[in-house]
Amino acid sequence: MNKFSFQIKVNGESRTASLRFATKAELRRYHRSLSSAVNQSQSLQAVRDAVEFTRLAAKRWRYYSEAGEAVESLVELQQAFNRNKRCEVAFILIATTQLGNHEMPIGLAYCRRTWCHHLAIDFLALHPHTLDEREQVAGVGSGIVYGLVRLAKALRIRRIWGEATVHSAPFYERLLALAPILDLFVIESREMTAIQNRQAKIARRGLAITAGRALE
Amino acid sequence: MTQKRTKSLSLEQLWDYEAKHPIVFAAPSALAEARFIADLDRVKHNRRRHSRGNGAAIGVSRRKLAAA
Repeated sequence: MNKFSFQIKVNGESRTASLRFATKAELRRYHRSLSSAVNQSQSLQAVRDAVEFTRLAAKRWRYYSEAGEAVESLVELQQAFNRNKRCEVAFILIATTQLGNHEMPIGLAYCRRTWCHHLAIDFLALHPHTLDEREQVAGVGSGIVYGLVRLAKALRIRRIWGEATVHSAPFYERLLALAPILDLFVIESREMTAIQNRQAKIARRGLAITAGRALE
Repeated sequence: MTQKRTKSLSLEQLWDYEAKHPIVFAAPSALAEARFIADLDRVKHNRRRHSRGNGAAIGVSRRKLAAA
């Protein structure tokens, strides 16, 4: 249960991606992969933001990790709140997809399990490679939120929330079919079900296409 | 302002939106805290480098130095 799969679109084709808890080593690898992206496209503001947010999220995670307030797996997260029901724990989820023999990082989310057993999303950033106009990767943001919904369901968490900004509010309005979203978005039972159904529909269609190709 | 339910988009429609609008978001309070942590880290790092430049011993306590 450490891993959650979801569908994305790469160069027009549907593909499976997965979301998992980041370990220190994985964060270091992710961090290293940023430098090539910075050199390639200096001009894109979104790429610069993605690099900055990812570096800051990793630094913040390390800071909390040193204080014993960050986890690297689902088991560690469960153990933390079983020990102390009111604890606040941070974690980073990394999304990846397979590209040939190579596993490509495509995005991450920095989250917190709050003291009252909710999930807060602090950072949601695509990997700079996926923002490259040549690659055309779509669905990573909604996929990561879907992964978070599955995590929330697994842990019986009733609410996922986060601060919305002028840039993120339109995305959450579309994702949650709610308007207007101002500086706060909340994902509860109804929205969680809608997000899950949406992914299930695409996954079923993907299976049908694969089966059709196998029959040809 | 009351929030209203709007027409639900399909995943393909969401993907089209995501293809045109980069998903790179940070909660303002989290961003401020992370920047503060990064600044603290930088100060700590610089201080360590500076003290090394002054010839101070790193990782050896004063008591151990006095005993030597």
